[in-house]
Amino acid sequence: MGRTVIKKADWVVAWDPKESRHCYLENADLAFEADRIVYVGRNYQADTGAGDETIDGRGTMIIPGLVDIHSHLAHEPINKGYTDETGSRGLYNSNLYEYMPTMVGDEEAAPWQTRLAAAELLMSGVTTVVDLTIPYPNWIDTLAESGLRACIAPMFRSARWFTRNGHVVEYDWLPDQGFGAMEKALELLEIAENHPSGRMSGMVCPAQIDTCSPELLQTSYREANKRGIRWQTHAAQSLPEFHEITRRHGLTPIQWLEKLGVLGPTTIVGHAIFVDDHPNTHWSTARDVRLLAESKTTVAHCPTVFMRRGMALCHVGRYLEAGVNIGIGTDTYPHNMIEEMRHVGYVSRLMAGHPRATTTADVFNAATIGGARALGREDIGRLTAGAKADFAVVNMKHPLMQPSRDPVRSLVYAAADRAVSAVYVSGEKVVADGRPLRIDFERAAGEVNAAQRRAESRVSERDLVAHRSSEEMSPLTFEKH
Amino acid sequence: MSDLTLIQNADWIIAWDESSKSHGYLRNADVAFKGNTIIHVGKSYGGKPDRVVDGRGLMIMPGLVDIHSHPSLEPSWRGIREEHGVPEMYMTGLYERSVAYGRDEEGERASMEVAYSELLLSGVTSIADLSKPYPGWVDLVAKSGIRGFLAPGYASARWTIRGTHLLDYIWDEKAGLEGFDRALQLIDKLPSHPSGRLSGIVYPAQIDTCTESLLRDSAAAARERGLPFTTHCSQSVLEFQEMVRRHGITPVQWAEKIGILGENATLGHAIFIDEHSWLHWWSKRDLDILARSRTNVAHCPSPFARYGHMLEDFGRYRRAGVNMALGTDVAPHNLLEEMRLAAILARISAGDINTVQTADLFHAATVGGATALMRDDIGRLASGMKADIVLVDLKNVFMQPARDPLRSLVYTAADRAVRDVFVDGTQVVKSGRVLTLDHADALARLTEAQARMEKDVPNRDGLGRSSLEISPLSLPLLAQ
Repeated sequence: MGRTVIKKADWVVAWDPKESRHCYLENADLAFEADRIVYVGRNYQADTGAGDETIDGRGTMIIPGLVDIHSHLAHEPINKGYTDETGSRGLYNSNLYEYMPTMVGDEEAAPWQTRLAAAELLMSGVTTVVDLTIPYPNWIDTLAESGLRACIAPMFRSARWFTRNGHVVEYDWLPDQGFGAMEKALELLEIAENHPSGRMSGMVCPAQIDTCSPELLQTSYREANKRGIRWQTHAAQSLPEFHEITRRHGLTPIQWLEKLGVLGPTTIVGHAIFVDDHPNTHWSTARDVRLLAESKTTVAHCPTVFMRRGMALCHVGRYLEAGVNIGIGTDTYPHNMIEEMRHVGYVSRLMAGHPRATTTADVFNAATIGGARALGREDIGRLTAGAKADFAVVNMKHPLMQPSRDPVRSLVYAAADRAVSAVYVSGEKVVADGRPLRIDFERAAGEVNAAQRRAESRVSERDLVAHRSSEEMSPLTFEKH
Repeated sequence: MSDLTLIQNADWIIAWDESSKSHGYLRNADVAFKGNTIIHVGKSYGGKPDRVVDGRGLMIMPGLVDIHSHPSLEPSWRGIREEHGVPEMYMTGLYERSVAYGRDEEGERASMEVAYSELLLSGVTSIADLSKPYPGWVDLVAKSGIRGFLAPGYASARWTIRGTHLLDYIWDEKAGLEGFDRALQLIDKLPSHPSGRLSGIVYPAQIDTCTESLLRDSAAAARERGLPFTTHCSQSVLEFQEMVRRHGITPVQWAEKIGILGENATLGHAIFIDEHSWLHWWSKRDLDILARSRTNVAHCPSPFARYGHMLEDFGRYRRAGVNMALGTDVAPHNLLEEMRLAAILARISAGDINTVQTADLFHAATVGGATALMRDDIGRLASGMKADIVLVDLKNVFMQPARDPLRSLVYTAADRAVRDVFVDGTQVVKSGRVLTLDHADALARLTEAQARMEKDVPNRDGLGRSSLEISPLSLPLLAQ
């Protein structure tokens, strides 16, 4: 197989290995062979051999493929139009306990939700995704077919949460099932690692701090370490969870994880919002952010799903300054990583009250090398010789990219996915002209739409509070006449 | 006996102006009272007094009304409570202390005598005494000479702590009903007490420790009798969280729902209402509920300030239309210092010096309390009012310069300048000494009782800790 050379790109966001940082190169070339980048710089000189391809890079910007470390591909797309502005007043506006469990896709919907989310991710420049999903048949193949590089995170837990009244969260504990589900998850991780696509990997994912027994959290952490892979759970994601853990243990969720010995450089915490010194928790200590930093734990930051209900991590700039590794995730529809990046910047500045709290470079770092570090990888999230050929081509001629004085700013604050014209994963073009090549995007959208109709009809039986209909749970924006 | 006493030519009088329903200053005027009733406030009393007090160098003010106090309990915690709190319980020490520290009846009596001495010395002439009844309580209140509003407490549950920090409840509904019954029996006898200064308040102890029916029945019993009603409500973050878990609505909203709010109801302490910055609750109704139901708030800043808690804020509540009254929920029982703290905390909370004026606090400490107690004849100096009168010494060094003597009193001198106190026309404090109680003897008995109490702590505390472990001394004890 020959080389592909993109010549004379207007801009390349290239990796400076000496300084370990991204930088801009103008009028630069990028060459890759098979799945690896072989050259990034000005004036690529090597002879063009047989089978080599040259692409005119003029009018484009090449950026590293984005790394999304927290997403629920098979669960979230169906929520569009339903959970956009829901939240239980009696549960401090969390959506998790009363609303989320009522809109659930059936098994037939799962692969289509995965495809729809994968398409959105690819179109917004994501090349690597961590998929936190309750396993369904052919999950791994479905992900591999999309062309994404994926790290599966099959979720398991010891308890199911529910609310019967919208102001108390209860837990239905079935500890043995948790361990059984963990064993099955570990088997799936093996399958992923050995998948012929070569793009699949896995991490261990006890679903939530409040639904997993301490034994399950600790055992699963040991299993991850034994395999040399990552471990992720949800913690500090709602005030009811914060209250539950402080009532159970007298410690904050982050402190409880530390006490269990499961924080560390291989740990990812989604979402570490409600830490001890968050303005809404009024807890007595101010240690959590430091604990995250000192243990080198990664925080999976996904602002969109929280800001919809008025919640925000306080704030990314503070976490970064403390030394916490931040990665970004798309925890909800739309699976648009670039819009998520925009929200990271804006929300951080709002919480801090000043524009310096989080720079665009901070956000871009989190969406690339922060995520790569979370996954223990130095070969993704950067454009440099030897790295995986995972990158996105941005159309500089798109009206929303202009004026293009600072093209990453134009991309993040204005154009987003609209200007992403091509995406390559492992050197394979998986998006062209802004369309995913391996996914029937329209069909996936149609199938999820149909699945949402089916799921809506089951909302009333799933609502334990008052068996309300879908429209009662989440009224439409305007009344139907 | 109805001697006529004339306080003649006082430099300053804080007099009640009925037309504007507010206090005002009178210069160089007289106060005359006959028996237990004031008969003249103004210039140049013309009648013939049996006794004349030279008013020169004095400010005469109405006796203060303390709407919320636990005299049989709080003084015994002096040196223990000031900086005791449990961080994992959002700083409150209430629950841990209530479990770990018990009291004997001897200690309760000593504690109460100390508290009453402090109250009288700081110019309090009416007290809402929220206590668990104990032998001799009623007679001691009468003996002190104060105007006593006795609130015998009862509850359907008591607090317990699971492990180090989890608040839980041990329910005994029968005990609650029996306590309610005994309380009503006690209350119903008070009006016929020979002192003529005692009456009752119906007091189910806390919103979280009483069943809905006990609270409803208590409120009904108070209404039937035309008596005040009080309970603790919105006094801690944990109580708030407990109540929203139980009912999905805030403690104040639940109190409204079950029908216990109203003109005769006083809530201690209505701090953690829906809008409080520590709670992040969604609604913004509690303050309006309190105002529209004409419920009174017993504001006691000291104990909460020690935990780092504050009401947000006195001025805002007042402007919303809530009747604010002041109490001494902790030792020292110094209502003048509570006024000062209430002013400071309101301004800190609001970030606004004008959120409260000293006049607002004085109103709360007199008329606000009287209103909560359903009385229009105390807390005011005017003809026809009860002769509950405080003489403040303007010559006291801390009162000078005495350009504005109420400010000097509240912001500087406090009880140090309280010279004489009359309740119901009878002198109970003279030259800064309590006439009715043996303050020094009570303190000696309290010190012994505190030692007994502390010794018993390891037997009561769930974790078997000593009192020194729960509340270490402020400085280390050195060997030599």
